[in-house]
Amino acid sequence: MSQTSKPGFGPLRGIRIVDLTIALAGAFTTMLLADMGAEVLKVESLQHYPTASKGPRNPPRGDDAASRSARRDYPDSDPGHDPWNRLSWFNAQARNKRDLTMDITRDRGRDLFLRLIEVSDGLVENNAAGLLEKLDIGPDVLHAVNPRLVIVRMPPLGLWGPDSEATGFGWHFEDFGGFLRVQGYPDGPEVGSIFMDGSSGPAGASAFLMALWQRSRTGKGAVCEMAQVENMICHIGDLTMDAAMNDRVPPRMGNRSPAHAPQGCYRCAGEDAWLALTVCSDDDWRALRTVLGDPPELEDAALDGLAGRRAGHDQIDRVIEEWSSRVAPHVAAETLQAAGIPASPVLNERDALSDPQLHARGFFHLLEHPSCGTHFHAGANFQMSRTPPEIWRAAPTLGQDNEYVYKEILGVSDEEYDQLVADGHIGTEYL
Amino acid sequence: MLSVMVQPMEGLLVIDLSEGIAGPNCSKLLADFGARVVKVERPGGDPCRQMGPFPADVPDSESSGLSLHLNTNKESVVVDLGTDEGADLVGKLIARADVVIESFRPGTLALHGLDPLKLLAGNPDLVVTSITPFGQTGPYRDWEMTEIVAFAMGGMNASGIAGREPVKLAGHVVLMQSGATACSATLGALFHARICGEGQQVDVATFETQNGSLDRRRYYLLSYEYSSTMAERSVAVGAGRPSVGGRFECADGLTVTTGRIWPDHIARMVSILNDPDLNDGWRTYGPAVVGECPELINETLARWAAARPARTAMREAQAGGWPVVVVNDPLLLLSDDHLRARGFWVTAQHPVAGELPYCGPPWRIDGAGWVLRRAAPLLGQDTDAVVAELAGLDAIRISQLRAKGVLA
Repeated sequence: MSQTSKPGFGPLRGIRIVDLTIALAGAFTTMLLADMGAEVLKVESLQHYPTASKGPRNPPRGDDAASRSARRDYPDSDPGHDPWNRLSWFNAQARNKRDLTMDITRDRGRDLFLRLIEVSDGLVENNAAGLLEKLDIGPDVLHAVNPRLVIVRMPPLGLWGPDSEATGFGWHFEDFGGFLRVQGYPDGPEVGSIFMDGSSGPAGASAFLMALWQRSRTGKGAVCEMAQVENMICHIGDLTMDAAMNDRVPPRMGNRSPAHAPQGCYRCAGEDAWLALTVCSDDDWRALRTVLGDPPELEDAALDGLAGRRAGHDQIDRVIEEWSSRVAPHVAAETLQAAGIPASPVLNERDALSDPQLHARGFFHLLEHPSCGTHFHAGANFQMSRTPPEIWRAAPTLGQDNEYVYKEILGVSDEEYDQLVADGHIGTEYL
Repeated sequence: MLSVMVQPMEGLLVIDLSEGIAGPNCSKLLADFGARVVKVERPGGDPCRQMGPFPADVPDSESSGLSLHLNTNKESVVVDLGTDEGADLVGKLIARADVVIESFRPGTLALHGLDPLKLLAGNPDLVVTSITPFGQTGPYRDWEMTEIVAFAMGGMNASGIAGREPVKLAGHVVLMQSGATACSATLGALFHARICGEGQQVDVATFETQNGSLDRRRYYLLSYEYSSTMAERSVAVGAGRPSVGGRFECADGLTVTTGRIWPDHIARMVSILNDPDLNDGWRTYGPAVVGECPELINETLARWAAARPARTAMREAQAGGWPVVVVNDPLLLLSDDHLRARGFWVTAQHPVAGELPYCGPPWRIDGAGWVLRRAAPLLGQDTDAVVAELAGLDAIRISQLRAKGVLA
């Protein structure tokens, strides 16, 4: 499909969303909505370089290990002359979106922005609490222009409360959210993750869609507040229950399960090759012993029950690894799955990109990008039988859709357009 | 006139046949925002009821902390779908529904005469959301999955320490996120059904929600496409173990973290710490003081933290634009000052588990929308009432079906 064709697909066809997100969490929300067919217009400013979204303006070009590693997120490890258009963080989630430039900190830009709001259905942002108000585009201002607007705001700790002004990176809020104390090796360090960004995407999308659902009944827009830390905590509700029920910090269990045994990640034949498995039942346990060739160490009747397997977990792990270390991980996993045991190789990026299941389902899409060339991109995170998601183009370059948005949506004349270029609102390079 | 608050999903009937974690998390989100969710359980109940945590670690199918968390605001009906009468009864419930959520192995619904296409033929604006490990199609469609397997297939290679085994995330977060993604897709399909009168099947595969997640995996995949390099395992992902900054113990025994100290924040940190030696270091080196004097910074941070309670340290730093936060764990979260002030923890009574604090709203719509109307149901608590109301069964028929084991 051509780069400029206008999509008409998905359950959200005809729904227009103004995207004021930064970094990843908010962008993940608008990606999910774009994959359902919403027209997502990412508003950027030539005057404000968004490092958190587009990486460093001048990426390290040296030959030391750190510089080389920093360049892995660019095509052929080359940031090129337009690194902001070539970064995987942005390009992986911005496919299907449109990109325009507008300096909303100046009156003219703000006026144009409000005209865009007037003809839109939604606004999504994940800036620090209070930023919209500082720009004088708070919800009251927006709703005065368009009472049907659904506004999704995703500040880390919410819009109000004693610490709502607190800022930080994902790693700060994972620690604040109680994740790191319960995540990592039982005998070694806690391990960080970036789970907050991952969990915020679907939550922001659901909040938008619930308010849209409500609007179809009431005719009125809404302000959705998605405090990212609170939503993240909802994903460990079982652990907060443990804390409440038993007045304790749940133990850091590494790869083990509170409900099943054995469970773990085992070394396989090959470099950095690993197998994960869970024995979920006594039946699984008998099947595992058969797969392992009925090793005598596992004949102990005490191991036939969960309590015994928990007590003997270390010993069981050693026997499993003795077997797995002689087998390729995908062979081990296929053998175990054929016996009904949940198991899988640890799939690195190369494995996933050649995975037969993901390809059979059409998960990856080959997309051509003006600056990056042609690559496989991860597609939609769900399928729908009647209104299937489409992945219709690669991520936009900076300002790629200026003409479309200004002339077709806002009805700006050619003369006016040229003046906006001269005034630094419209362009394709940061100033 | 009294204004009656209407929850956003009020009026919606969801028949939830799903088990485990992902499916029930999807229906939880709909239930907590006002949908009526009828949880159809197999005799003996959703296996999730057997998964901990339990009070005093004593297993009891009515007090699983996981199940209590996931099944708030739902009604429980026990039906043996393996019997003709049970399948027929579930068909009658579905005939009244706006949404069906299911997590069976692909093809199972059809075995019971409940093929999604057939359901849609009888109920054209129905949304059938199937949440499975690998989706309805493809060579792995019948494979089994658990939390660790889900993460192994989508990002675990980059979690942990190089050389050691990769390590999973806390709890069941990957499966929870799969359910949350399914909720978004279900809401999209519902919107289409409302506008166009056309229902459909939504096919959510945890394999795809995880490989498509922006917990980095999605862009790591594109980075590999771009440069053939893979993400390495490093605890530095996230909080990490920075050599400068990190966690420090405070006067009240709690901990704060600075995380890795970002270049933009160094001047603010120096000004807030206001230590004579560090001020000298700043005058000499500027922002490079972090690299030049790591011990000086760590010592100053430690002294500063030890002189004040953690929350005070966080607020002093944040007021000066330097991101420092209190380090919580699941137990500390329950008394966190900010979360309590926002009313995040919501207490409910449960007949077996007693009074407990539940996670509150993941989001709020105009400040509201989420209500804990009742705690998770006991197994089969609503069987009689629901089959009488929604399937029109009279008391005699209900007792016949109970006697046969079709209902419980």
